[in-house]
Amino acid sequence: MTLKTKFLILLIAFTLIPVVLFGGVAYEQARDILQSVRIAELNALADLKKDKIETFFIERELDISAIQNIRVIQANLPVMSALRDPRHPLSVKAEADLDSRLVHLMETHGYLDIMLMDKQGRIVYICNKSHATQFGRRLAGLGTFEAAKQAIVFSDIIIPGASGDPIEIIGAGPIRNQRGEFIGVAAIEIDMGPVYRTILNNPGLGRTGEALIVRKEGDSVLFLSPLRDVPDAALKKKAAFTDAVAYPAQKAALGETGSGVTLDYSGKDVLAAWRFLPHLRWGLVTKIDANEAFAPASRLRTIMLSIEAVMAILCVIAALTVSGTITRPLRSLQHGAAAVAEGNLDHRVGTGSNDEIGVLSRDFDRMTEALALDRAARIRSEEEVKALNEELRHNVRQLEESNKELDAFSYSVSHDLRSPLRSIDGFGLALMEDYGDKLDDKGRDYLERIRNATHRMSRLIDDLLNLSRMARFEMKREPVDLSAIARGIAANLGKSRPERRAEFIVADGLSAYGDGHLLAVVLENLLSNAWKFSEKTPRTVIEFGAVLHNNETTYFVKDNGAGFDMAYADKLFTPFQRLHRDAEFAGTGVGLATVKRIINRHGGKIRIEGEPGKGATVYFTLS
Amino acid sequence: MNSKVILLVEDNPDDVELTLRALKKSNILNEVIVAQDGVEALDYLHGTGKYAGRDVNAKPQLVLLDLKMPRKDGFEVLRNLRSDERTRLLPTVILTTSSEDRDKVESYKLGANSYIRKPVDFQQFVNAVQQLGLYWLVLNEAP
Repeated sequence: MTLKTKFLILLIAFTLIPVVLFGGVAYEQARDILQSVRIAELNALADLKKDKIETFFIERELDISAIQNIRVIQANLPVMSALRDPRHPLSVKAEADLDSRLVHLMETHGYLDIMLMDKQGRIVYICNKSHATQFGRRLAGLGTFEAAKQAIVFSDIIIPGASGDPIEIIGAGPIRNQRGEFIGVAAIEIDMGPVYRTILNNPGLGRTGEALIVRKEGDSVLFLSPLRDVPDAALKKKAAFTDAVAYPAQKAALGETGSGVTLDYSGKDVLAAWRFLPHLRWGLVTKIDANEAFAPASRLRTIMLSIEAVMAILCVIAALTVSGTITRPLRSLQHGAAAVAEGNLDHRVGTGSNDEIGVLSRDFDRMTEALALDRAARIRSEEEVKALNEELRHNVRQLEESNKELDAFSYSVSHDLRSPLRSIDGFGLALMEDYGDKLDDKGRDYLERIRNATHRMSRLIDDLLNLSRMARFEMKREPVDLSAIARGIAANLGKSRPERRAEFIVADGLSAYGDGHLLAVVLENLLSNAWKFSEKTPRTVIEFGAVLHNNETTYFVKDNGAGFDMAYADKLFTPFQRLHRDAEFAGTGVGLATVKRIINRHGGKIRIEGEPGKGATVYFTLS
Repeated sequence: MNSKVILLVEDNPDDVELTLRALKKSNILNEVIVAQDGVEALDYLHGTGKYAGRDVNAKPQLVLLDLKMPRKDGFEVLRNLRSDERTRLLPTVILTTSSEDRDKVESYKLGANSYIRKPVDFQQFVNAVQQLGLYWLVLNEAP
């Protein structure tokens, strides 16, 4: 996951998401508050309207009660009903009496008409003379009329036939005479205008707010007032109780009181309050579209969403920017690392920023510098090494040249020095043989010495050659069976002088890692020495063995021969240094020097211990 | 009495003298022809130069060959001997002062029959020559 993504996720998680949550909560809260407020409003309005309407009709009831008690009516109604002829002079008088009382009443109360009907339901008096055509009309059988015989009742809303005429409602009540006998019905035509105005006047309820009145009719709700969406709904629109709309109207029509969020007659979501007006058995509903009611909350949501959108964009920008400020230097650092890895130590990342990455970059550059210095130093020492190697090779070449010269030298020595020696010895012997009798003892003695001297010189030359060869010899390194070699040499020595009483003790399994030829020379020299120097011992015992001490094997050759004085021990390994005269033990004194040289070449050490008369032991190690 | 010839190839007059003496002391009475270097030796064997006209079929029974000689050394002679059909099988003993292994190896490589070091001690030399003579001239059956 890239830094960019991480930052984005972080930012979104810690800023956008909380804001979204907050926005959601705020919105819900706003809605709840709005709902409460609006419902309260609607309830208040519904109650207000209900009161107003109820008051209106109570007043009308009172009006009708008052009318019921008007003596003029009580006196004249029977007359009018009995005469049935409006032109009869008594009727005319009666009518005039009534007019004098009722016209004023009608006008002051704003009734559309006041009518009187006889016991049979015939209209016998009309206050509003423009309705004169109604005279004589029978209303018997009409629900309202029949009910008005008993008590004050109100009719249903009446939609006028002719447009322009107001919608009215009739309130009627029984008229009784002084004796309490029913003599007829009085009715007032009430202009529903005010009522409707009350209903339809909804200031402050908003654009979609409205109030309406309904009535139960059978299994339906009958709408009694114009609806905003259905202007001529009065007495026309119905909604069945089984319908899934007009819940407030249904509830109101059924006599319920309440409020809530529900569906109106158009199926829209509304906030509504519903009341029942028992006087008229009307339902009253105040409602407002949920959309409008919750509009502020919706506005809030829109604002929140906008803010969130902006925040999201800002988050992205911030993420990109911040990650950029981190990844850009990081990338240049990475390039730097790659460049350095490829060997370019002059590359500098360089970052001026003061943050941790800047510090890292500067440290990185310091590291690169250090590496560069290091490399320079390394290159210098490599060149030194190369120079040294050159010198070394040069020296090796010189050494090899030297060795070749030595080789040639030894070669010529082996031939050229020996020839004259041979002549000396040969002719010396010839002289001895052919002319020896002509010489006296002294002369023969001198000749003898001459010959001996040449023999000695020859041996010396041989030994010297050997010694030098040991130094030049190209050493091999391989497992060498020392026990076998020693036994071979011992056998040869024994055979050379079979009459000698000599015992060789060779330890088993003695082996070493070195040059077989050279080690054979060592053993040859040491065992021959042991053999030589124990010549005078009656029973010679020569032992070759090894001891293991501190992980190091020390070999030894021990004899019980003449031994030597330890005071001269260090001379023994020097070439030609001898501790015995040649007359005692023949030898050139080169053997031990040769042995020492071979041991040295194997990386080992050698020492010798001895005691005069008791014998000597040579100890040596090989690396 | 033996008419078989021994060819002694040796440049050092002292060594010649001593060898002859040794042969005499060993009762080897063959005629000894002395060539003082490689050139003379080959001249004799091939019947050229100094020995022009010699019957080359009369080959020596034994060649005693020194290695270190001027003009043509022992190796050259040996090489020449062994590459010539006539002398390829000629018994040749290297008689030399050198104790170098490489000389020994080279000699055998080139086809010498034997390699003897000349000891300084003349008595030893006489013994050696005696054994030589006994072996090569008496015991050994020439090709």
